Amino acid sequence: MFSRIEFILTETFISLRRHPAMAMAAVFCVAAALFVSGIVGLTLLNAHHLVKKTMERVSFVVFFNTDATRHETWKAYKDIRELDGITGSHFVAKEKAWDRFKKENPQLAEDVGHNPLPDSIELKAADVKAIPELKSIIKERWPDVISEVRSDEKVTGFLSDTRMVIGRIGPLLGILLAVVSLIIIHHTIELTLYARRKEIFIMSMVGATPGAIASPFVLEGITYGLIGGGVALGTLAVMYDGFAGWLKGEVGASVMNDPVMLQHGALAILVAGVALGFIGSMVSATKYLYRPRSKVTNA
Amino acid sequence: MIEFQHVSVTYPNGVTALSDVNLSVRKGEFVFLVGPSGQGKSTALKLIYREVRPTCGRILVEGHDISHLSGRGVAHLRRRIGVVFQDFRLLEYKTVRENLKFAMQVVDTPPSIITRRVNDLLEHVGLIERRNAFPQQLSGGEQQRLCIARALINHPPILLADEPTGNLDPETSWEIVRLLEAINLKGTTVVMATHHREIVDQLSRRVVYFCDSRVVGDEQGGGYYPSTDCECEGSVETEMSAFDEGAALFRA
Ligand SMILES: Nc1ncnc2c1ncn2[C@@H]1O[C@H](COP(=O)(O)OP(=O)(O)OP(=O)(O)O)[C@@H](O)[C@H]1O
Ligand SMILES: [Mg+2]
Repeated sequence: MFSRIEFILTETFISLRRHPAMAMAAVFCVAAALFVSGIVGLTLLNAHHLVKKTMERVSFVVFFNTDATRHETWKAYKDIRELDGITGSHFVAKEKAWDRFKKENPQLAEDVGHNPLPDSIELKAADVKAIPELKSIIKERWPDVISEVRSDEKVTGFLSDTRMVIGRIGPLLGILLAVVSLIIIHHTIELTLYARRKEIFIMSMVGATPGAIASPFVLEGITYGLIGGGVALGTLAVMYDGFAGWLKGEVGASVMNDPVMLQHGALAILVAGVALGFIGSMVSATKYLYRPRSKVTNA
Repeated sequence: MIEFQHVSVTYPNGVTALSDVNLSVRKGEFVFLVGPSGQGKSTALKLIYREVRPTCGRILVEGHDISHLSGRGVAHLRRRIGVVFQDFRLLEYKTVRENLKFAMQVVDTPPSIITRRVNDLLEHVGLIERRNAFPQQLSGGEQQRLCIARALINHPPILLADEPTGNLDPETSWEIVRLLEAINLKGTTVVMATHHREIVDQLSRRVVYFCDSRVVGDEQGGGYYPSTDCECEGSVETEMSAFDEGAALFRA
């Protein structure tokens, strides 16, 4: 067994050393495919992260008429919070709103003098998409006491649409690139097999099993995949870090940086690289070793 | 040891290389396959090491029908058969020792055995002094010795040689044949396809004559030409001219 391992490693290394240009092309393609997949993945994760954060923050607000009594507003509040699709509610009495306002704009409050604010309710919906409907229901049901329902659902709606589009296109793009890498690895290994047909012939003549003959070539493919994955990962890490720094500085926002999520993503990229290399080289090796014998060897 | 039963081979391009060949080689024999060019000698050898499958008939090696072997089965068959070619097929970027080591590693020989066996084989074929040379630094005879050593790594009971002296001058050819005889003396069955008339005539071994894709003669202690006339019209001349061309190449 040790002998076999030494043999596989030596042969793989020779192969990599003998056609560095081809090896680099294969590595580059895997890296490019995984890099783009990584960008798509990160964008998706961040869109998700952003939508979640925004949705938590962007609630919608029901303002009552200033002349509605506390009894009326409180009764409406109790009904509204029971509506389907409302997940959170908070009654803001006009006194409290005025206190808040005075604290934030003391000068302005002094100028105004008295409290012009109405009672209001801060509401959260389970789904951004349902907000417009909830708004119209609420307005129709209590036309006398409610003056206005205000929300930012356009922002959240846009985000969730974007997320859906990326969610659809992303995997497609990833699959496309994976297929391209597969084809390129497959061809690289096929060229390797051709370049090493004499070794293959000798191996098969002295009684090496098809598995033993294929193993250095499969290892070569896996090496391309792994190195490609590593390159993609390194590039992504550096770029993401730079982007996070820029975002913090310019916009003051933070990127998705859940360590578990990022570690899983990194692992997925390496595994995908290895899988691409393995599948690509297996296809070529099997095709080469099992095609009609007479074509393989006639000198 | 080796048995052909009504074997025919037709290649995909429609050429019939062998038709209804019956042949039986016993353990320890030294057999020459002779005949004009293109009459199926190489095909017969390829059938034995399962490079080619018979279109009809059966081939038994050591009592086993080899027609329906899997990839692993073929691999194990080839560990029982050493094959030597006219054109050596050595790895130019590996030394003499490394060429043998490579072949032994792919069949999972333990490293401790490899070193010893490589030295034994090189001793046996007379290349121990040249063990660190590259194939291009070897003479044709030395290269063929290395091929023979490589064919013997698995201690095969059968050694097949397809025109092993085809690329060598007469003197070196004799060295190679003497080596094959020595291997045969140790009990290995040797089957050799050749055009080398002098060798066949002088060795006086069993000779199987191929003509028109058939076995037309089989003589113990035979010469290069069968003692009884075979009806292989004109083919002797084709063969002679082929040999002369070969000889001319050497002189050049
Ligand atoms: N792989 C192949 N595909 C098609 N035809 C083949 C193939 N190999 C051999 N042949 C044909 O089969 C016939 C027998 O070939 P073979 O090589 O067995 O002859 P041979 O007796 O070894 O000849 P030589 O003395 O020249 O080596 C020839 O006509 C040859 O052209
Ligand atoms: Mg031949």
